[in-house]
Amino acid sequence: MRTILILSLICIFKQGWTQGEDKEALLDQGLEKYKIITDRSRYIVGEDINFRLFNHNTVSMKKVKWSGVLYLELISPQGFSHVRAKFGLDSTGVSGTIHIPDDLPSGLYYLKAYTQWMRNKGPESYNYLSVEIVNPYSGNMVSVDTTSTFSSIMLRQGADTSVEPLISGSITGSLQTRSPLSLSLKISESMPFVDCCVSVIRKGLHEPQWESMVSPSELSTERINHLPETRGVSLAGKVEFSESGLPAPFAVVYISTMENERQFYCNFTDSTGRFHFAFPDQYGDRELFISATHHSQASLTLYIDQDFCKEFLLLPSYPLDLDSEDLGLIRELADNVQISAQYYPGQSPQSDTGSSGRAYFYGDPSSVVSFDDFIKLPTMEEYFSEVTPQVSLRKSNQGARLRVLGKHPDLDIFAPLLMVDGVAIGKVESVLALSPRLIKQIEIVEAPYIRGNITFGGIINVISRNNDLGFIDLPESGLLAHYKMFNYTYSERQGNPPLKKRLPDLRNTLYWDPHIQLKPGEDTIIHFTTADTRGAYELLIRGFDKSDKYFEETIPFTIDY
Amino acid sequence: MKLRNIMLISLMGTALILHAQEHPSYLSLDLNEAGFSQFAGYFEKETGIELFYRDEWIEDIRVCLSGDSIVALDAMQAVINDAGLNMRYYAPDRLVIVPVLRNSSDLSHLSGSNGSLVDLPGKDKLEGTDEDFLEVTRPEQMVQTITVGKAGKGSSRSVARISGRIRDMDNGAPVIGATMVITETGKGSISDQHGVVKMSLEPGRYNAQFSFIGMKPYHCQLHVLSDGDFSVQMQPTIIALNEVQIVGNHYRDINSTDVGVERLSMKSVKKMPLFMGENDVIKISKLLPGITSTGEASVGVNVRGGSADQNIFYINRVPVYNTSHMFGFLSAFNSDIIQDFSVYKGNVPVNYGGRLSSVFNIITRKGNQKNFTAHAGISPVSAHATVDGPIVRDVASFLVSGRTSYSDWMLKRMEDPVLRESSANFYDFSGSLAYTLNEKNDLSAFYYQSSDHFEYGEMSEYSYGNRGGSVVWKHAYSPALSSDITAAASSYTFGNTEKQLISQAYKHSYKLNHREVIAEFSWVPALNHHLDFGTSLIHYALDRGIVLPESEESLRVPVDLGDEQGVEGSIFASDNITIFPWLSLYAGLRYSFFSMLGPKEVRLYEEDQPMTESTVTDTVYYGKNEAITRESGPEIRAAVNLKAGQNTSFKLSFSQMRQYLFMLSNTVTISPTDQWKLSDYHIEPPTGSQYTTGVYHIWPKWGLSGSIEIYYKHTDNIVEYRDGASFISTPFTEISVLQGVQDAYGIEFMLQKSSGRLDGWINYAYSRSWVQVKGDNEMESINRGDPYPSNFDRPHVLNVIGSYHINRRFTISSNLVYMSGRPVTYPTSLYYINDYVYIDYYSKNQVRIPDYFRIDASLVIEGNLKADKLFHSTWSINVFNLLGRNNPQSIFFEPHENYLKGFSFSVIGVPIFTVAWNVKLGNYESK
Repeated sequence: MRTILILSLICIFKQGWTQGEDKEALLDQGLEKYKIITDRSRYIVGEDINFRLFNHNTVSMKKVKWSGVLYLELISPQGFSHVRAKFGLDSTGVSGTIHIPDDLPSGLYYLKAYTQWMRNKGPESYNYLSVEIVNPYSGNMVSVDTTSTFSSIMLRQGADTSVEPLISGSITGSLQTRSPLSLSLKISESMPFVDCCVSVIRKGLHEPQWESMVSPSELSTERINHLPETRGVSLAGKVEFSESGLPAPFAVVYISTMENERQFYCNFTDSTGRFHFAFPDQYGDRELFISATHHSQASLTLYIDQDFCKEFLLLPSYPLDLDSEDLGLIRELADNVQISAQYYPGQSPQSDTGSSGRAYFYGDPSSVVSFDDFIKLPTMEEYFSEVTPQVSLRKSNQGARLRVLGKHPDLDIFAPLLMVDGVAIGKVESVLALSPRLIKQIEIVEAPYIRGNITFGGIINVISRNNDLGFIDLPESGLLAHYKMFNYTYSERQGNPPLKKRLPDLRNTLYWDPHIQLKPGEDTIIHFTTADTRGAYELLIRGFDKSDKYFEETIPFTIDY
Repeated sequence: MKLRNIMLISLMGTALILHAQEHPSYLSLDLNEAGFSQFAGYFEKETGIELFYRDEWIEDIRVCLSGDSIVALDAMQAVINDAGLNMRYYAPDRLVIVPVLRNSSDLSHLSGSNGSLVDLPGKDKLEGTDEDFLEVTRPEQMVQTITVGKAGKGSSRSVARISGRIRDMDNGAPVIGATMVITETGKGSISDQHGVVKMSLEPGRYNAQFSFIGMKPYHCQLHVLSDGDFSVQMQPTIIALNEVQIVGNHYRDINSTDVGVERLSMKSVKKMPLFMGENDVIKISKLLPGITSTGEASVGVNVRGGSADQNIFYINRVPVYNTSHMFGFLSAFNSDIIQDFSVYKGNVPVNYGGRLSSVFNIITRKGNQKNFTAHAGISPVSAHATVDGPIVRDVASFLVSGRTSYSDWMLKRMEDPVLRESSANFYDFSGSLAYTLNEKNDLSAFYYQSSDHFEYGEMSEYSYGNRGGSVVWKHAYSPALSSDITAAASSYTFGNTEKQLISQAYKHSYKLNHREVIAEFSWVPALNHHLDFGTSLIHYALDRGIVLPESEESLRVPVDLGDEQGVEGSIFASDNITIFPWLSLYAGLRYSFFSMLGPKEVRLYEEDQPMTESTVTDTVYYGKNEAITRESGPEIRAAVNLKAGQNTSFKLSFSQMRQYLFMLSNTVTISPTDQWKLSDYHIEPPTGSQYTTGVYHIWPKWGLSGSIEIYYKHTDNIVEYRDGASFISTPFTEISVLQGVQDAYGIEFMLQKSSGRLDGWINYAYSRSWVQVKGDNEMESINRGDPYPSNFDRPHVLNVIGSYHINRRFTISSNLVYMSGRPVTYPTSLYYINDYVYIDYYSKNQVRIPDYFRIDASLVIEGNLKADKLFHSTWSINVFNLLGRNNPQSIFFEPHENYLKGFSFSVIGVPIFTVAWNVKLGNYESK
């Protein structure tokens, strides 16, 4: 239903474009605008970059909830992507963290932020923000291109602002290590409402960052190749007949997630052989097994669209130039990073909690045939025919056929969804060819399973002992893809870690709150705890005012006791 | 536990200032084996520096420190470094201990432009695709290498003789009849009754494959260095219902020199339709080509036209003289204990002799060496139970098995008042012990007993029984030479009281003792030779009993039938020679002798006159152990196997047999009152020669094996009886006996499928058997000296047996038997002379009783396939004689007014429906 709404919107949008009515408004509607703020501008490898993306779309765009997925990449100025992540977007934007790999050479990098919808207008429309990354363990540096002409207008963040500093703040509390501090923020009456980020960092870690400036009038939208992702991370692609290379319309595409929590999706291809899937509730890096079947039994080839934009812009680069004071700080911060990593291991948000049990999308099966309950039978066929009364197996010249037996009449009509470890397998023969020694159990759902407009006569899921698909001969069309779903790390306020004796607190960012809303006449109080390190600190308040103008306020303080 | 000894005295006064410490603190301490936390507490107290660490990093640290004015940070640095840890000092008052602390490199490049610049991947690398295929590694099939012999030991010889013992992994029992095939040479060997395979090979590496039905094929590499032993364990497995395979027996058909050998696995026996709910190997053997019987209730079998006494039944080398219960309705062997069953009806190995037609060899299973198992079952007529298990695990085991009838209840329900008053019961028992002394010596003992009792109203009473035992000692002298020394004893007794005619009432009891010693050797002297040789000695002692009048009314005169004793000995040798891979030869010779020993009175008769009471001329008395007769002669056993390709072979064989013991029987079937009798002064031992040729083929794709065998058999001195002969009225049997020749020939077709969802066989035999008794005069001839069909001449025999496995739990089986009617002699006319009835007969055996036709069916329902259960039960529902056809066992005539009225007598003329329940310990898989 949502898709239909979007498609109709696109039609209106295109129609409006051609008719030239209220062109500017529609252009505005079609253009998405986002701005990024990070907790600081300089990082050590192995640290997390905290960011906040502000949604600067028009009110009407915000209302229709256009793009729901933010693509964020950490790229080198030459365009190579080192970190890729997807975040869910809403009308306020999104905040999160990305982790800097340990092996990046020192140099200037960019955060590249965009949505699928923005891809229609090309990489020029994306948002880029520079960050400096220092790798104190390596002498390598990112090469600096001083000759090329750059494809985007870059400005220092805040360079275009004329907003007067209208926020006043006062710190209360003792300026010593491991002690709570409070900050009271007050906004002047002339700034009615402010959405901002507050970070507390060591002095010297933040310099004005390079930011791309997009001029909408220079962008043209001739093609709509990318639909906005309104229902979470999407996956699109096409199915072709292997022999002819022609699109395979109305093929069934199956997607199974391969991790502990097994999800299953299926859909038909459209008349052009294209398919779309949405994963509204999937997080992390997922391994997907994707296969397709066609009623003609022809062999198929699957192609999956690149989810991240491969188009790139050449961005300005310059060498890092750190003075000796900066270097001393860098050394300390680097030590802090590596010590913290050893004191608080496994806090990497990427780590998947490897639960032993596997859960499947269908929940509890109606019945389970556990192979260990029975004598060792020589073939899978015998397990189906001898000890699985819920399933009937017929073999004929046309091949083998499985049916789930049960009360529901649909079970007689529709073929069941046959899976191995949650991976849809089209050919019964390849399941029958499995070695039963590798199989733990067969789970059966004795009720029709309806997925979109596809009905399955129940589910038969063969579960292997070692989660290795029993070394099945996978369908010819099958392919395994590593696919990024929503990033796990949605950063919220951080600054008050539980302090324990004997465990040092060596945070380099003492406080980060990406969502602070300041209202006139109201004091906003921020509480945070200082770490075990002494030195000069800065409290940065950055954000955008009502007219999306950037502002920045710095409150310095020193912890020396 | 790490022990840290830090001698800090040496550090005193040194310039080891590790960190810029404005006001260095000093420690004065004396710690010996102190924990780190103790040291840390002291450190913190003295210096005011707070320490940070995780307990798991420092728990093994022991601090030994003593000295005054030690620089605190240096002391800490020394302790920490010695424990393999690092520390980071956050001046002025925090010290963090950390396992790994990478030092930042020189960061000067970051302040200028003197760093080395790295080109990060640019556009060209962006084209990479995210697609990937699943990479799987399949487990390699691991092949085990078995080294046989020792290096350098067999250097002088180019041949290594190897001997392998094949055992069942589950119960430690020897696997009998398993094949070992050397892939490189195609050479094969079959395991003997101890599960031992012998072979000679040139030293080297070979791929060997071991296979046996119901076992997982086992591959290994044999690294043969010299003569040596090895052992192999095979794992029982369940064969997929749909899988067709050619195993064991059929490999043997193609590759061995066996001709006219039938083997049945117990697995196939258990699938057959049951009669009275009892598995019965003897009954099933009658469905094999060339083996027939006279009907349902018939004791014994007729092999290739021979009479029932021409077969010997061995169970673990114990000869069993009567193999039936209840007059042949059931066989006297409990099938639960049978492991291997073979019938030699063509070329008999030299180890066996003494009967003209065949040797039935039954080997029982040994007790489980690993676990206790139990089987039990009930059928409408009997109940049986078997228990076996280890005495000493992997060394000694036992097996006991018993069966008893409770069939009286059926008789009590009969309409016939005489039957209601009757009773019939039987039991059999067997026990065995197996003891593996060591790798070279095995000892096993076996005991068997069976007993039958039958009372027919008040009229007659029969009882008979077998009792026997054997001890076998197997010894391996070397991998090439081994021996089996067997001592066996068996006794057969029967008693009979006949009261039908009061004037003729009598009682009689009979006993036969058989004692035997056999030494058999198996030797692989050289490449392509396998020798078997040995010797045997049998002592027979027959107490033929005294026929006594049963009551005072009886007019019978007591007759002492006398005692007999004799010895039969033999020496034998054979060589199995592989001349070429496609040509192998079996050359064997058995030389046997027999002597009847005294004490005995022997009557002499007038020469050229029939032996009758009236022609007796003299009586000679032989003293104790004095030789009355001396018979001896060679028995040549030879066979050639010509292999035509992998799946076809042609075979020829010639086999000679001599028989020194026969049965006095004037009925066509064995009855419990039939006496065994030694050949004597007057009765020459029968001798026979058999020529067989056969072609054997397997169709591996279909799991089919087929054979065609043609034989011709000529027997001299066949024993026939004068009409109306009675064996209880005189001890002098010779007056009732006539001797002649028998010629039998036939062609047997067999097509068999022993695996897959449908299995079974079809066989058809066309065979004839002719007897000619042509004496010097008509009194000593039968049928005027013309050849006549023997009593067992059945030209056409068709057997079809098939089982269809619907699934593992349901099997339907059926069998069909068609046989030409057996020959009989019919009366042609009846007339009265002086009120006495005289009957004229046709020529002997010129007419036949109607053909025999029967279909049986059964449904076997196995219990569920759960792995964990205490008992597994099996139900079998059987219908015997599904069509309810009246198959005449015999035809008899009674005078009726002015003509003879014929009656046909059939034993079972209605379908017999039975349900049997069998149970065993464990699950479906358990043995």
